[in-house]
Amino acid sequence: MAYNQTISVTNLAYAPVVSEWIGAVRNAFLSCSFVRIPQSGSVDDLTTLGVRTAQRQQITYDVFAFNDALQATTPLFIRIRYFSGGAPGSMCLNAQMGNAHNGSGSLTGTSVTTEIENGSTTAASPVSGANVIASGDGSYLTLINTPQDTRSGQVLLFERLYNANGQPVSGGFHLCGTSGGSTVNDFTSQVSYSGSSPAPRQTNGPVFLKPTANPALYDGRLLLGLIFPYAGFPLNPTPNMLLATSTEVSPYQLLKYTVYGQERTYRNSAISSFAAAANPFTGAQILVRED
Amino acid sequence: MTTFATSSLALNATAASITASYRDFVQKMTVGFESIGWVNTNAVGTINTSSFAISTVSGSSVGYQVWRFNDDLHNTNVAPVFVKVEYCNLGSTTVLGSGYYISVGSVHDGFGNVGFNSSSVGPTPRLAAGTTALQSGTLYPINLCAISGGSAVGVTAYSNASAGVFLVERSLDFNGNYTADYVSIAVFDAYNNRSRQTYFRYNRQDFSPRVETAISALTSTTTVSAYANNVAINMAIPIVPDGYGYPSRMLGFVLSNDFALGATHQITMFATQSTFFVPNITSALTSILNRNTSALSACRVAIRYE
Repeated sequence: MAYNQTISVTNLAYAPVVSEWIGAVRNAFLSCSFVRIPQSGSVDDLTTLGVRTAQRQQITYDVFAFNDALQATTPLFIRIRYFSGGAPGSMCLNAQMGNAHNGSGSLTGTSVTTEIENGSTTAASPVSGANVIASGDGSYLTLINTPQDTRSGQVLLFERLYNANGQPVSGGFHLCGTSGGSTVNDFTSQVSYSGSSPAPRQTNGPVFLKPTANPALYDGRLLLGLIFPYAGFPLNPTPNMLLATSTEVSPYQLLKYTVYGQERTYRNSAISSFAAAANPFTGAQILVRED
Repeated sequence: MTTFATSSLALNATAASITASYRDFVQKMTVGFESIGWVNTNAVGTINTSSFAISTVSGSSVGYQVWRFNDDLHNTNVAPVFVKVEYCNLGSTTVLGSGYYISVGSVHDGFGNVGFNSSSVGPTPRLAAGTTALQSGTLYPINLCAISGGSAVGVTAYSNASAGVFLVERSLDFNGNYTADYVSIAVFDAYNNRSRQTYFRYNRQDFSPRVETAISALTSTTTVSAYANNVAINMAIPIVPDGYGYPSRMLGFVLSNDFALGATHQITMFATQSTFFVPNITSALTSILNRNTSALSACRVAIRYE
């Protein structure tokens, strides 16, 4: 299920923009089959949110549950914390995954990933028409945050690990995404086996296979880059996020690609402006599943 | 049954003569190829390793050898592999960069031309490997390894600052067994600080070999990347028009904090424990891979070595 919500930012005062933005992110999860779990302290009615004048001030948070066949035996949760950013209307979004929650906004247990600060912490103003784009089926979710503004545009991927046939498995999960201020300072990837401490976080980009460069087309086909969750060794690649080169894909372009023998639709998030260490390769573009 | 052969030689670069040092390099490489089980076809025009003249033109071939695999897939004529090695000084008349070109085909005319049979497209483009300037009075190790006289990897004339690297390896199946689909080639040329990879496909005429401007591999960027007693050697991955191939059994990359340099390590791949060697090369290798170099300052090469 894909979700694409345009934020019509006409008034850069704090409150309306923040509430609309948070609402869009929340709806993105709900539209992609995730379940919002009531938490003490999580605001239901976003219209009641007040103005935040300080940078990096938490506004509210959500805990979402995966909603797939594996959830009954291996529960998996996502916590999203919403912050004010560094400019009127800009928003910072912290994302974390784990196997359990305490009902009051914290993920608990051994398998809790490091939070990704997925959003602008500096004065990167949103533009009118900014989008929140998501895709998911309850076993994975991809989220593109404000792609119209490359300075604060960010991408996130939440997923279970996959077996060699491309089917999600209960053994663990993977959180991958970008973060930063006026540029994408980090592009991180972290795996946790369920019940174990997370593996070392890959902080200079995930473990990946670069798309072909010379030529880009092999036999008329693009060979795109694959991202491999890493737990001391590369695990099966994700079918939900790919890498391409900017010369081969246009910003926000939708294209078909086959992973694990199944053709799916992907969108170029057009996120760029990587900091040097976070840039996987020259012209790297992050594509996320959208179907 | 898989058998291995390894060869370790040391090139003694001398101040007295660029030519003498370069001949020594060619002679050591020749002994190395023989010792890992490759067969010299003694092609007409083969380089005379003791008397060839060094070129004054950087990168210009000074002579060639055509070697052939001596494994079952070659000897049963299922998938012959002829490797043409053209030696070249990548430096100048005053600087020795111990270089060579590698190209691969399925047939050889006996006169130094490797090519392809009527149902294939080839041979591969020739790719350069080699080192930066060698210093006089220094020993430069050459480490070569081949599986069953066939697929081979080498780190040639290396120091902590430079190395030539080559890989000539057959395609693999899901279980890590060599197949007759294609041969992949990867090289690193330290003199020009560039790496390349290409392939030769059997029985395919639809798409001629292309050259990637890096060696494709997965690479962790976070050291120490060990987790649950596991840490990976990230193997080179062939790219052919059908997609990505199964990873190499012979050439990989590691982060320096993950593996001791200058030592051998046991690693399990394709469900079999294998020995790899991480040469003590501490610089000049970041451009070997296919990703942003600023994330790879601690990347090292690892080769099969048993």
